[in-house]
Amino acid sequence: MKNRIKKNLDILDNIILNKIYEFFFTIGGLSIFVIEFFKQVFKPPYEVEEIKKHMDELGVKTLPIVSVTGIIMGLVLTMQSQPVMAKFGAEAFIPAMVSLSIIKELGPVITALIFAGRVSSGIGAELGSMRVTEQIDAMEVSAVNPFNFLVVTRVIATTMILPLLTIYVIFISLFGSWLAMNLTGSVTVKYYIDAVVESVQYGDFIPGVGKTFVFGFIAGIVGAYKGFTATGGTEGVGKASTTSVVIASLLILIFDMILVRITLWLWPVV
Amino acid sequence: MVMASSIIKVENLTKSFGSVKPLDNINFEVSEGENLVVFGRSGAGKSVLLKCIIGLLKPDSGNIWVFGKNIPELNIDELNEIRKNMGFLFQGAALYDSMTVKENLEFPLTKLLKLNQEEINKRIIEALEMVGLKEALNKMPSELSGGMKKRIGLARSIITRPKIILYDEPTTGLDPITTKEISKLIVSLQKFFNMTSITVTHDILCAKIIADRAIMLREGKIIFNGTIEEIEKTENEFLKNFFSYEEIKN
Repeated sequence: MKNRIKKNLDILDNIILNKIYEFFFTIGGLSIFVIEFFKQVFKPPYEVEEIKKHMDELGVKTLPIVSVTGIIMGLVLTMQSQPVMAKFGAEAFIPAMVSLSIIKELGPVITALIFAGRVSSGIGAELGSMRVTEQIDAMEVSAVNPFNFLVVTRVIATTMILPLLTIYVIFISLFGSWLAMNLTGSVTVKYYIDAVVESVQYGDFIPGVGKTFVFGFIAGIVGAYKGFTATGGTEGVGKASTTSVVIASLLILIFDMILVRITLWLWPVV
Repeated sequence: MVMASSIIKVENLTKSFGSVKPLDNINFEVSEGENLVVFGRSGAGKSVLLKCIIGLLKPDSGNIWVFGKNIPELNIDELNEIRKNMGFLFQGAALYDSMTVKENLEFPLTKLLKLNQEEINKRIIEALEMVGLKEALNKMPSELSGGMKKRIGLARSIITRPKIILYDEPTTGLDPITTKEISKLIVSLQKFFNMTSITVTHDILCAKIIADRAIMLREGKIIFNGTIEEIEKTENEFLKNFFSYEEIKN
C-alpha cells in the first residue's frame, strides 16, 4: 500500500515537474522570439502589402464575433445594473457607469480575449501547418526570410488592428447599453449621448485603447511562436493552435493587471 | 561520360540529433552536370544530407563546398546568394497552401530574382508547359492530385533556372507510371537547363532513369559509391537485400 502511494506520488511529481518545465521552456522560447521580432521588424524588405492583407483578413474575419459580443456586453451590463441603481434612485448615472466600465476595462479586455481566441489559434494553426509541411523551409530556400515574411507581418497586423476593433466594440457596446435602457423606459439617443459625453473625457480612452496595442501584440506573437516552432505533424498543429489561445489569454490578463497598475501610478486621478 | 570539375564537395560531414547520428564523417563529390542518387533506408539521414547542403540545417562538423563556398561558414546573405543558383524539390512538394499555382510559381521569381511582371508571366507559362500542367495555372494546391503537386513543385524549383537542384524523394507515394513520367521529366529538364542534381530516393525505377552515379548511406556512413549497374552486380548482402524484390517476397 505504502509503495503504491509512493509510486503515485512520484508520478504526480513527474507530471507537475514536467508542467513547470514546459511553462518555463515556453516563456524562455517566447522571450527569445520577441527579441528576434524586434531585431527583424526594422530590417528590409518591408512587406507592406502582406501587412495590409493580414489586417484586412484579421479585421474583417473578427468583425462579426466582436460585434455580437460588443452589443451583448452593453445590453447585459445595463440590464444587470438597472435594478440596483434604481434602488438608490441613481438610474441617471447608468450611462456614465456603463460607458466608463466599457471604455476603461471591459471593451479592451473582452475584445482582446475574443480576438486572441479567434486570431492566435488561427495564426498558430496556419504557421504550424506550414512548418510541418515544409512550406517554411521552402520559403527559406527561395532566399526569403520566413520570420520577416510570416511572423513580422502578422504581428504588426494584429498590433494595429486590435485597437481599431476595440474602438468599434466600445461604440457598439454603448449602442447596446442604450438599447437596454430603451427597453425599460424611453431614453432618447440624444439624452444618452449627452450623459456619456458629460461623464467621459478623451483621456479615458487613452489607457483603455492604448493597452490594446500590447494585447494585439501578445495575440499575434504567441500564435506565431507556437505555429513557427510546431513539431510532430497534424497533432503538433492542433497543439499549437490550442496552446496559443491559452497562453495568449493568460498573458493578456496578466499584462492588463500590470498596465492598469502602471496607469494608476502614472495618472492617479485617471 | 566526361565529368567536369566538382561543383559540390562534402568533406567529413557529421550531423547528430541528440544521441542519433544520421551522418557520420561523410565524404563525396558531385561533378558539374552529374546526377547523383542517394539511397538509404528511412531515417538513414538522406534528407538531412540535402538540408545540410542547402543550409537549412547546420552540420556539427565538416565542410560543404558549393560553387567554391563553404556553406556552414556563410552568413544568411551569402547563403541566399548561393541559393539563387539552387533549387529544392521537397518530399511533399511544399506548395504554399494559401496561394494559387500561379502565385506559387511567381513567389521565387519576385522574391529571389526580382523580375518584371512580363518576364515573370513568360517564365510561369514556360515552366507549366514543361511539366505539362498549363491548365492548373489558377488552381489551388488542394485541388491538385499527388502527382500534379510534384509536377508543380518541380516547376517551382526549376523556374529560377538553378545550376544545382536537390530532389527529396521526388517519386514517393506515386504509382509506377507517374513515377516513370516524373523521373523522365526530371532528366529532360536537367538536360534542357544543363543542371547538376542530387536525388534522394528509395525508388530503384526512378534511380535507374535519373542516376549517373549512386551512393548508399547506412548508419551514418557511405557504404557504396558507384553506378546503378555496379549496384545490380554487387555481392554486398545489404545492397542485394535492399534492391532485391525476391528477398522482400521471401
